[in-house]
Amino acid sequence: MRSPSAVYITGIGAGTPLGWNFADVARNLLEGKSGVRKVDTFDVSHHPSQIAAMMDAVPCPATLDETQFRKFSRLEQLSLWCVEQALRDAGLWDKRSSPRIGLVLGTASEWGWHWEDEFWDKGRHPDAVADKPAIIETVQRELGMTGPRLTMSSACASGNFALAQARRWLQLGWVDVCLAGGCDASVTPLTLAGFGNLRALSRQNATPTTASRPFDKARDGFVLGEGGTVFVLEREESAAKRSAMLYGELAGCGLTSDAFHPVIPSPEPAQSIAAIRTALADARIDPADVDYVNAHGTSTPVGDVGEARALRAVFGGLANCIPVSSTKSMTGHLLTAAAAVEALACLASIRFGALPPTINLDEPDAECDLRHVAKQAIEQPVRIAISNSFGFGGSNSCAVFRAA
Amino acid sequence: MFDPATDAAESGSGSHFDCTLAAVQSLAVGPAELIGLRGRVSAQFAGQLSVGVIKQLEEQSVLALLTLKQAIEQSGLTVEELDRCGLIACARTPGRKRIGDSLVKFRDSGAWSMSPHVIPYLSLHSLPGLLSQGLRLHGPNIGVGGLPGSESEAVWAAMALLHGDQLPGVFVVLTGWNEDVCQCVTLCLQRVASADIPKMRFRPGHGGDARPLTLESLRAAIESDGSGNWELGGASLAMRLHEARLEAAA
Repeated sequence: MRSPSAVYITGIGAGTPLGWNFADVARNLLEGKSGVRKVDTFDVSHHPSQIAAMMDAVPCPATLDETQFRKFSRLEQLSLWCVEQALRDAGLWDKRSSPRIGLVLGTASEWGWHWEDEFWDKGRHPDAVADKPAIIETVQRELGMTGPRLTMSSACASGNFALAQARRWLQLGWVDVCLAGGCDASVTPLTLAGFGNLRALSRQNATPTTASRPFDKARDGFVLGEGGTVFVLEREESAAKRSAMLYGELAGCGLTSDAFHPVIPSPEPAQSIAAIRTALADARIDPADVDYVNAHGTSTPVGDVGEARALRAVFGGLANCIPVSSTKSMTGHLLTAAAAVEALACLASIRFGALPPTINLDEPDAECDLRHVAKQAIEQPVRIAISNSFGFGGSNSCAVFRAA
Repeated sequence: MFDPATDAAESGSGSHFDCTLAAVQSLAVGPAELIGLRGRVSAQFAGQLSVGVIKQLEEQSVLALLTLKQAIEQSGLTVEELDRCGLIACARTPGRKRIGDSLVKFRDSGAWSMSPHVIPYLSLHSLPGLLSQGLRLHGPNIGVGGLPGSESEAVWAAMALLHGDQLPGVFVVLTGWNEDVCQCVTLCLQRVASADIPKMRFRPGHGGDARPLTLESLRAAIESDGSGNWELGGASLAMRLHEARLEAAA
């Protein structure tokens, strides 16, 4: 263990189309499995994109009544599942009511999904729909948590921003334990149509499992995904005192904004470069120390090229050596939960000494010239992994994970 | 980089975190006045925001842009400092009418009729992203809450950026509708340069029995004597706009 303010990850709760816990999601990522399929929960015949990595029914957490649980929205169910599992995984379930346990949850527009649910299920216009309690409030109430909380979004970078907030809360001594991550259940008629009409989504509807192809010459947009991951973070002394199992250290974070456009990333990736450099400096490591890069890599023509340029700028010639992959090729793009699931992928690489691949990378785009982990996992010890996540509104983020 | 010992010393104690309020701006208008304000945004932000972006602005964003611009001018921050400032934006259920209209249109005309602007302009991240673009702020921006009652969460997030990430300043933008009034308060927080001038004191772990922080109560305090004490869900917040010290506060 390193500095006095080092923060470690001591528990993980996960729910994705690739599994309902860390071990299953990690195994499926390393085996290169795709979670993408045709959307079958509503009529997509008139949607430009008809595919997504969709969750099945969320398992009911052990402490909740199944009938009551099914009355919650899918996003509420997912958040409850991930938070309870993370607390149990960390061995902190019995301490959950402590006011010194914080919760930071990345999410997007929970009110909008509530309105959409009410509209499709009951025909109610949002004007006639009362606001619901915030999901984070529901999670705390149902699980008996009492500490400080924060619902936040930096679009598709939300998971990293949530981790950065939790790390600061711990370092400033505001809490003893902080849960942080992101959950998203965006595969709804309105969201699929909205992103589809933005021309952001892949239209390779006939071949769902090969549609998400980051850095590949034939990529044509991202594939929506669903799921979430929540982590338990603790300071070194707290984790050591109770001999907690360590997944890794959250060693550094870098956060910037393009200030360029609501949707389009800046053609000049100065701010994404700054985010990566800030994260490395925060972790007090050199670029040469990085063993693996989990790329944002959404599979959009513009975004992947911009990220490759940013990585080249930060790593220079080392970019020929440092392995890079995008797990969105398997999970789809989980939007506000993407960075959280990709943090899990980094911790999996550290735990299992293997790099998850970019599946479907048949012919790398010459403008995305990096050392790709293409198609299959590579066995290789990982001491330091970094995860890039960028988002609408110009949010840029990078998180550094170090082996414990 | 962050050093808890130094940071605690700067605030005078490890148990509280002080900051100066370098700018305070407040605005509240009715629906009729919003039309005129949209025109002001067009005039003042023509260089930073395209006509297409301004056309899509949600009502709360209009007030947020104008008050943030005024707060920046009031803050005295240099261009270099502003470039690194953080931004926390906390809006309430943006887009009720437009999302409702989109749902009706979708039901009646199909998926193709769904506007591609709804997600970029009406999500939780939309307001901070827009404000960063409009005011050229390259520091971290975060959307907080989204539902009424999230104002205290915005303060937690802002204080973490200010004291943890050691940014030169953090702007906090709180907006929301209350009946037929659209309101906005924008603050510029800076770390305390001198122990004699704290204007806001954040004390984690000291909830107390003060009233919860809301946009309405913050506006009322600003417009009266400039002082207030609030409970923030596991912390307390004290504000004194017109006094030098906060020794007895919260």
